[in-house]
Amino acid sequence: MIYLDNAATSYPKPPEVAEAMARFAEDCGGNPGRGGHSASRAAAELIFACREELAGLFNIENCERIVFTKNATEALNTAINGLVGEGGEILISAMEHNAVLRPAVACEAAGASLRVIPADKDGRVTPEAVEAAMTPKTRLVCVVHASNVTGTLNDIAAINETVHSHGALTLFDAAQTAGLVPIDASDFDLLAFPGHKSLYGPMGTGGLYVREGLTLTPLTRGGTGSASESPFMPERMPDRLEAGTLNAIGIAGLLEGVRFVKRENPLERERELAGLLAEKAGGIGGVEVIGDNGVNVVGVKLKYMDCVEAAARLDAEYGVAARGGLHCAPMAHRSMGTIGCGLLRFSVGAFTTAADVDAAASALEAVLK
Amino acid sequence: MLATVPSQTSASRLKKSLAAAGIKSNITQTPSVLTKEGCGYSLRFDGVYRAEVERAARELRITVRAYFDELDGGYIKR
Repeated sequence: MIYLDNAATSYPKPPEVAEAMARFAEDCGGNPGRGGHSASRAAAELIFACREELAGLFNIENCERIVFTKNATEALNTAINGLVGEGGEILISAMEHNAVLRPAVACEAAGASLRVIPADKDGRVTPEAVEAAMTPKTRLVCVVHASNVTGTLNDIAAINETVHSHGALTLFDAAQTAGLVPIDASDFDLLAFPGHKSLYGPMGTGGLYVREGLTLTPLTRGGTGSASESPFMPERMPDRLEAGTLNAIGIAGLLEGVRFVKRENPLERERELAGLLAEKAGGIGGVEVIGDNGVNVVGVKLKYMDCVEAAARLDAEYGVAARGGLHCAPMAHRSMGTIGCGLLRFSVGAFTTAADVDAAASALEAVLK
Repeated sequence: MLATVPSQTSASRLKKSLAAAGIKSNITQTPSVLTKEGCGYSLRFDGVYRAEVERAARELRITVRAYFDELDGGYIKR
């Protein structure tokens, strides 16, 4: 199989990820933060190591401000519900995934105000567009770092400055960039990220960075292994937003994934491969490359074939795994004018080769003949 | 000596900082008699390093709730 759906989840993972998970299952197995025995302490040390690696990756001073979630969606829900809830104004960009749109719409239904920041023709959300959309009531601005549909990269540092100049808070969705594009979150308010995409951890891992001084209402409540006599969630982080047992075995794998991306720094290589794929696909009749492919994603519009059918044929006839459809981002497709037809999306990863890209482009050409 | 800290993650941060300074410590669950709010974690270290522990906690902005000496199976707040 030629796997070109790394924007959905990276595959394969570095071998050390599975090895670490097996090691945890066989040799550790304790529940971190639950008791004082050696298995619990060993698990807690591993969780701490992963928190620290992530803090280093995102230039965050205090790793206690990173909470583990089961994916970026849970992190985004935690942030949006925890800050906006039933009141205030939330701005989201037109390129957001349903992981942002749906919780934002739910907040709107509960009484909050929701407005959408338009994107340009490539799917880019500019600081100027953010500036124009802000009102004195804006509490939270949520923008995706790179579109999962087109790969278009947004200048979130500049957007952060714009939002802060109005006294509002920022939430950035790094679903497609965490581990791939360098991110300095030290001036951000909130950063949501998955563990299983470009951080090369297993599915079921992700996280949310919450800056110092910001207190969120928890999405879930329960045991934290701390302040047990209180019926309320503790104020302290990360316990406040980590109710229940953590996915320690997944985090054991994620730790190795984070170490892998720090070591390998795959951005330039993946950009090069995505560029090569965009060039080859764009040269095929009836194929239009959409967006600027700033990361590892290449979205193509097909003139003469349904994109889902093309994806199915690529898989069945050529063993190429690509994704057709709306990619859980209908707003983005509306914004790009592709809501009716969807796009066929290819996304490369750290283990994709130039030969894979060549073969996929040839397969696409053959399917479209 | 035991230093009771806000969370296990705080304890891990403090332990790492002390280790970098060559001071050995261990994370332990806080004995029930020392905590008013249920489960919690503490750092166990040689009391001669208390000043260093205080300094490290200050630098990391970790609030140490209390320091306890361990004597004959009991605890004395210091």
